[in-house]
Amino acid sequence: MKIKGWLILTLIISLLIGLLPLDELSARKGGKSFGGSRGSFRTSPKSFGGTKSPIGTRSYDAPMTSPKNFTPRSQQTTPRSFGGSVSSNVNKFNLQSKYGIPRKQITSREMSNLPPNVVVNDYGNFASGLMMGYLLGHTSWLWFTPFHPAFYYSQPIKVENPDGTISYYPPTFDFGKLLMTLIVLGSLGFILYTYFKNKKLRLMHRSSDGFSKSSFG
Amino acid sequence: MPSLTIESNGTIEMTAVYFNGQQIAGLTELFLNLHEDGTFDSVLVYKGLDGKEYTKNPFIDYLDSINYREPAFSEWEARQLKSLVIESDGEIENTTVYYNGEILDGLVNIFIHIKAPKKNKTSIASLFNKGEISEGAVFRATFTFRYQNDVLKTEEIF
Repeated sequence: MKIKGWLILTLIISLLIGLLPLDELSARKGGKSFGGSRGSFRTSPKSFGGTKSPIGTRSYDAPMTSPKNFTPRSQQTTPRSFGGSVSSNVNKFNLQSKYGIPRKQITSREMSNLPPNVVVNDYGNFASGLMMGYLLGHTSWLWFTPFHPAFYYSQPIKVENPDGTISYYPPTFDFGKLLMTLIVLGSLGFILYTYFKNKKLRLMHRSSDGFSKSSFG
Repeated sequence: MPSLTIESNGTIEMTAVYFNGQQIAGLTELFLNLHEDGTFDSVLVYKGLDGKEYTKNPFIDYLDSINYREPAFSEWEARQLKSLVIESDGEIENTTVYYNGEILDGLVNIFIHIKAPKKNKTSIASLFNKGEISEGAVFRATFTFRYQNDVLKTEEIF
């Protein structure tokens, strides 16, 4: 019985840890694209020191969460110009076909604190609002709790285009996270319900004479 | 002559044991096996006032450090219970048994074994228990009479 209890506790803890938005939180720390000072935009912009990177490659930060049909460049076979596939464009077109035509494309002209090479695709929906919140750093700790819809969305999708510009697409709804949250909250609810129900029964059992009048016990 | 009285309705929760008219508290186990052939097994296991556990024969031994309590059952409650009184000096020949105030005769055997359940240990799993009586509880109480034509009949006492 003791082992059973510990197993239940371990399961709850592991489920709770699994639900923590660690990637979002870590991204929030150092991966903020907008807001703050200019120097903090890229994490490793050092020009001096270290070793020279091969010609033609460009540092690339893989998006925090990828859509189904989006493959980060790091997983591509060759970064050559000829041969292979033009994955960024393909991805861009795939994303555009998935998302449709944006209602508005926001650049540094519309928003002064955007870097000049960034294009934000605004579709005017809730996810676009979340994207702007993430990009401008206007997030709240509530976003990382299951009580806010933002918790169930991914991070904004970042696509580096071959021309050097960066496109941002709104985050997508994560049904897996919703399911996991429902499972965890359901389990917690069930455990609490069982605990309090049995506590009531225990109290009833004790109060209904129990051993209070017996010579035994 | 020492007297041991058991009042019960057949459940451990509603069982009171009296020694010379005083209700005992902290009993762990009571075992009585009295037979007309001279068998007189009588064991009382209790937790004394000093916290130690004692095993004694109540009809022969002095009950060290025994814990008595105020009578728990009201007169009305006691009337709902069955009462068995055994007066003895530890010898079967000098043993008288009263059942609900009447002397019994034709007794062949009395067997009583009442054991308190083990207390639940505190653990995470125990938080989810319903508080039912845990394993280890024993309640057996029978007496056997000899009727005419040497017919033996065993009945439940409580």
